[in-house]
Amino acid sequence: MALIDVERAILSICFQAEPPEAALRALGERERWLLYRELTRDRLIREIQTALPRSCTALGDECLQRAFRQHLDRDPPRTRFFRDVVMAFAASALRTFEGDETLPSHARDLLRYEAALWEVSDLEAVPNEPVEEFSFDRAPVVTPALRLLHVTHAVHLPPDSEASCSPGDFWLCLQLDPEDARSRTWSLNRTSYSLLAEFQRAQCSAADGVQRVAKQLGRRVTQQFVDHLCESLAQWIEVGILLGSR
Amino acid sequence: MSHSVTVNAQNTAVRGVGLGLRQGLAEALFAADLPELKFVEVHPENYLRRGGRFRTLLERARERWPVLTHGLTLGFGAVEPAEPGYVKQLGEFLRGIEAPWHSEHLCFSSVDGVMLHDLLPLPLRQEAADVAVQRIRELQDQLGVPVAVENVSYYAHPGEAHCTEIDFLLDVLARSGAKLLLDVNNVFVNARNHGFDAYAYLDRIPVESVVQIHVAGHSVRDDGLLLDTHGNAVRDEVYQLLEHALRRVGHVPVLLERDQNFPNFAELADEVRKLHAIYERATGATWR
Repeated sequence: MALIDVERAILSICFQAEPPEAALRALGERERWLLYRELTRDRLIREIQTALPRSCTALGDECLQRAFRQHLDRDPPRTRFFRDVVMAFAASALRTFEGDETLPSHARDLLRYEAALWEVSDLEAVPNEPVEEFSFDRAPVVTPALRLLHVTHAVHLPPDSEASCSPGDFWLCLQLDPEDARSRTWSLNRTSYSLLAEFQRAQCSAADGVQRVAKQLGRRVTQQFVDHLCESLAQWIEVGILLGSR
Repeated sequence: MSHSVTVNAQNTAVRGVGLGLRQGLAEALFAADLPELKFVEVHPENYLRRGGRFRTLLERARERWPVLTHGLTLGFGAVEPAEPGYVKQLGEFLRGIEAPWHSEHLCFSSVDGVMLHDLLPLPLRQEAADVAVQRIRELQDQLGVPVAVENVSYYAHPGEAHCTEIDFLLDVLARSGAKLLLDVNNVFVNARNHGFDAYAYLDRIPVESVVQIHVAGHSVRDDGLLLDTHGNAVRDEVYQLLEHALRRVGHVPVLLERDQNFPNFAELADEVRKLHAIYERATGATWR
């Protein structure tokens, strides 16, 4: 066997849904190659269970194993960063569960939320461009260590809270805390969520961004709107969400 | 293009016993009074393209100890070359922390763009050695720091072997000009699992090629197979083998690998002290 065929045979034993008999025969030492299958898969699923504990519980073992088997078989990890295996699995599992009504209704939201929390905890918080003091006349700079997530269940509430995972529209901002370098979640309203999303895109000045969002949402820019806006901006600057302008 | 890169003279002073900088260990490590600990080792994959707490961890560690690097995903037996963007970033990282060399494994971890995130064995045959030599030379040229090869543990051999493990390793070292990261526990595990003499293996290692040693714990399955877990205490037979290796190669840094099933820190610190005592005895060192 050529080296590439040896490596493909080992890959197939480790990652295919069922280890191919032809590969096991070709390589010999059947039980030992099945041990490699067990070791590689254990390592990956342990990382997933560590990163997504509530999602794994919500999915249940059977669903989790099904999603994991399909992930490795059809859409295996291509990242060399072990931490990113979690996001690769979550993306794959969300496709697997598309339209699956046997799952608990909040499971997909929980998976998206926990995967985003995991991702945010490793994001770079320093922007790769110079930042000046915030001005409405210039494009805003939002921390790169941030993800916005709209969910239809209260997955961000602690599991011991009565309202945890209850249905509703929730507009979340997940941010890497600049102080302790861990993920934290802010609950926004739809307007501030849309505004932050607009600021993240940073395609126009902050003033134009505000006008655009107000128009999209059918909001009139009243004094009360401006007061709330200023409050939000001040808070975002204080907690390191809004870094300034460029 | 030249494949020979000299070891950074300033950093060859890294000696003694080190530990892997693991997030689960970090706080205890920073708080500990452990003068026997002389360096830490990091996996660049855990720091590249990453902010957050890992960046802070590395900066704090650099203030205390020399940092050595050990990669997990550029197995030299991969048929496809590594993507240039990643290798460029790796080189910048290594230069940024003044790494004296960079080590990777003599195995494969990816095929057709799929990452297995494990160390899979190569066939002990000419084609695999040729590929490894090629990959080492490419990496050495691209990184600009010396590359060291680590011998891996393996539990099965794919098909028929055409040579022994030590002959395969020596061939790759000789033709690539690579340095060696000698994993003593892997030698022990393979010797038991595949039936060869670990001491005879060590005696064939060219001492001038060894830049670093790894030592770790392993587990024993019911059927007698040894597994290189990095999750157990180092066994006495491995300590003995380490001492034999150190008597031959002298003052190279020795890393205690512990990646899972962490004991309380006091236990790990005792292992570091025990290794330090062996190190001093074997190398005749009296330095602190």
